[in-house]
Amino acid sequence: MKLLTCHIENFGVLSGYDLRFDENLTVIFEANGFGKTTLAAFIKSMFYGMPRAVKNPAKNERKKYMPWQGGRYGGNLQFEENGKQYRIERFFGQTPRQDSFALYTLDPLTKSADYTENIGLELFQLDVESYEKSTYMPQNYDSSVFSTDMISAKLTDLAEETADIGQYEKAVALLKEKRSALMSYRGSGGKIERDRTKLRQLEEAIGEGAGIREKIEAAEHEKERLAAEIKEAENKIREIREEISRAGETELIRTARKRQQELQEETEELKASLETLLACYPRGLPREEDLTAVSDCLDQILRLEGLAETLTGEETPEPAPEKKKGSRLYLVFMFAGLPLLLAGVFCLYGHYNLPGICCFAAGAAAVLIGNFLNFKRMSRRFQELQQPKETKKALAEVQLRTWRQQSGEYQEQIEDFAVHYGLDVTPKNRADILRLRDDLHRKAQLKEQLDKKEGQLTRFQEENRQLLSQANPAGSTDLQTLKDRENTLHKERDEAFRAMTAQESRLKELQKELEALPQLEDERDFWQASYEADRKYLEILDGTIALLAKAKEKLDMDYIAPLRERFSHYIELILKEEDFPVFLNQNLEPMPEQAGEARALTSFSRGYADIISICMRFALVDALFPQTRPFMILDDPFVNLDDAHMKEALSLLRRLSGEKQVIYLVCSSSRC
Amino acid sequence: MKIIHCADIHLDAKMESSLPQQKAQERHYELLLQFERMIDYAKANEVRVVMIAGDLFDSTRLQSGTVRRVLDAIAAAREIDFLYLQGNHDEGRRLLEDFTLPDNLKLFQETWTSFTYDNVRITGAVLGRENCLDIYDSLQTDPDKINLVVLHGQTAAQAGEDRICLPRLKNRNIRYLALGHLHSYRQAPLDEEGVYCYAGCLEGRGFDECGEKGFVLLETDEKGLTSQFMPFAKRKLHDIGVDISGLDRMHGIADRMKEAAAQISSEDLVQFTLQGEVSPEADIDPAFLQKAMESFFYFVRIKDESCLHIDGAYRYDRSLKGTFIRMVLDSDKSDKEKEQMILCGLAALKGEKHKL
Repeated sequence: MKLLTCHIENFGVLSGYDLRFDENLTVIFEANGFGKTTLAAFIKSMFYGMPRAVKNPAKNERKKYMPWQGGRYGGNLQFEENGKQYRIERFFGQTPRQDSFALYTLDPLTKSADYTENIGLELFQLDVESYEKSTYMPQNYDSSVFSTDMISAKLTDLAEETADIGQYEKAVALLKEKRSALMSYRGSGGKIERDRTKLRQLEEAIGEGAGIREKIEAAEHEKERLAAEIKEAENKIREIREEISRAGETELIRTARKRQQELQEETEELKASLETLLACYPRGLPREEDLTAVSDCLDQILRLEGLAETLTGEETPEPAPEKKKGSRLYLVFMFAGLPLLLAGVFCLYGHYNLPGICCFAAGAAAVLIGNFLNFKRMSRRFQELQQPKETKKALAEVQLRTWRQQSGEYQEQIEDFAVHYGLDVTPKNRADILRLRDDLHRKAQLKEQLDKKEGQLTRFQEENRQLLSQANPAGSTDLQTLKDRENTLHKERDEAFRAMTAQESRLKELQKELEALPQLEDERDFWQASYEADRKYLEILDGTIALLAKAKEKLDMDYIAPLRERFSHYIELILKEEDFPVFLNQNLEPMPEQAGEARALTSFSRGYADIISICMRFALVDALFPQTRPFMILDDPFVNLDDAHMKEALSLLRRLSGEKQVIYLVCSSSRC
Repeated sequence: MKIIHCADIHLDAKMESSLPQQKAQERHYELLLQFERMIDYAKANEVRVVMIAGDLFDSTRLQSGTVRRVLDAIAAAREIDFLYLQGNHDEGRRLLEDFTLPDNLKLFQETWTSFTYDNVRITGAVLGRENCLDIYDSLQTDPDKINLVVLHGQTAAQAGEDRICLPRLKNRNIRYLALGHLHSYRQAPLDEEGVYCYAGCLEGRGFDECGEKGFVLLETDEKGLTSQFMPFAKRKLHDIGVDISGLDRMHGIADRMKEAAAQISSEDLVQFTLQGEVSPEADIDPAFLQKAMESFFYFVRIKDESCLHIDGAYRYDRSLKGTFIRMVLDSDKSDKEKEQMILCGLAALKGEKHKL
């Protein structure tokens, strides 16, 4: 690329200024204040436009180059690129909105759309700052900068652009440090792993929670099953109770019938016994008074027989003392009277006067009566003892006959008795009478028992008429069996109820555990979000590290290698045989080699260093502008050189301008 | 007679606004307290019926203590009937089974259930998979009464699960179709006489539920029915977009955020969504901005949706930075990832550890 001409209508101190550029070296020799730097700024603004106004006056180019008289400012610049000539026209206002841009091709002058208003970027593939720092070597260039280890390695301001290469290691170290904090390159350390562990724990807890839901589901099913079981058991209990009720009624009927039968049988048995007894006495059983009479008869007979035997055996039978009724009656009165007397005495002694007097009077009366009776008895006895023996014998015979007669009468009475009652056997003794009496008693007993039993039977039948009137129940399960079954069902129901209560308690516990789940889930979500964000950021960090490495590699490939190559090229152009060879070290620092030893540029003269710097600048421009080789604007860069070095520098310029167009601005004839 | 129509209270539901745990718990309590406060309002204003058109609870996270407090509050308002229709988030029936329901809490079933109060007849049904298609045919209204119908679902032209087929409810003597499901108040004509209305939720829970929240107060008399939306939320949620284009310093951005939220109550929850294009060199730290704004509102969230403005200069920057940016831009990463990587790389190159 070559600059052809420029016309500055108004730009800073320059106004109506025209310049035709030499194909190789354009030397603009003007005094200070002419506007050399302004010219360089004009060329830059033609390609890149004017930046937006900024507050910092030193950096506010729009204001800085605005003409003093105000109004629009700018001009045009003609250049050649790839054999085609163009003309850029730009004018600037106070704001970018007031700026204008036009591009023409020359010969003929026609508008061109080959480039836009970003023509600088499009042509040079370089931003304005890089352009400025590479193509423009300013007057106040601080060459001491080059003497520092870092910058001297880069040689020019342009190197500052690539200086972030030096930051690469630090940047990657920072990124890796951050990356390691998230996930260490080795082992399992880092926040992500800690988050993952926490997440795993929470997931496990929530997983158990999901298990709780299943457990609740199962417990609810179990509860429902148990409830159904309880309901079924209660239904069965109800049914069995009805069955028991029915069986109870059956049992009642059966029992009633059985009891009726028993009563009937017992009645029949009593009837049979009575009939059997009565059968022995076709004319009825003797009455008690008859038996007593017969018994008395038998007694009299026995007594008379005894008396008769005694009387017969002792010749003069002692007449049997006729026992008089009341012969011993005196004893009764005596025995009754004495206690009454005593009672009367005691009562009186105890001041119970009325009963005492009564008892005493009754006692006294009884004792008196007793004594009277005894006296009478003793008188009679005494008379008997006074009768003579012969009389006694006669009397005995008479007596004997009397007795026999009486005995016969008694016997007749007994026989009449036997005939009357149709007895097979005439009672002969007390045993016979006792037997008859027993039968009589037995009959009475049987009769009584029979009446009682019949009464029972009647009452029972009346009381249980409803039961007894019902049809004979069909055969059903035994009541006890049913009751046993009911008990079993009760036990089963109670067991199910207990189990259901336990399930309910368990459900409540599980419900509590389940209710704790949302908090865990919230916590899980928090950690999940944190984990995912960290994972994402880890990817960003890894990607950044990788792309930085690639960028560095590309930068090396695109610029550093060409830089070395171009630097060698320019060094070869300018160095003489006696000069030390110079190479770029790893940090792009030009290192002259003296006696086989690489030495720092600062070890050499300033002029030598400046020349090396010029070479580095040219090499950098070549490296940075691979497609379009731009011009170089050198704004009086050799002000510090002595004459000898100046000569060498100018010689270098001439040689280099063969390689690319150079615009050399200088204010002293000594430097041109 | 006054009737309240509310819905979608979502007690115990998750707070979707990324609240810290303590504030999320506070909001849970506030939701419950707002429900109780609505009951207090009903008592004070002689409301006869409260219709809850679904999603009173969020069954998946429901705590038994919450149910107990709700039932206690309902039981304490003996003079008010609560007609509760369960929504798709109310699968807490089993939980309700464990409690003795107060007499004044009446549940709608999966078949039409009607409750009559003077000249007002309120009918509702829980829509489910089984009944959602043919339940409309069995709806019976009383032409001599003011008919209110309660349902939960999304209005639609076709019937379906969680869908309310409006065409099949037209011209059925419905004066007011009380709906639940959508969380914002919305009322529109149903037919010539009736309207359908979503009461919205009582309180917003996430920044997708911004704006006024509350319930609908209905008033009936011999002439008919009137309804009015009553804003009732304790706190509102706001999503404020803030264009930070051209701003590259935290101070300026914070000032613009304050300016954008000047009219918002300090009791509210605010999400600032940063928008616009910013330079990679801009000093933006959402955490710092959140801290700076926290003292002005109950809760602040910063959502950075701004994107990097990569000007053409980077494309021609021959430095490592420029090369890196070009490589990132040429990579197959998403735009957001590219932005993050550029910010990350530039911060590292500048040695700004705190920005990493």
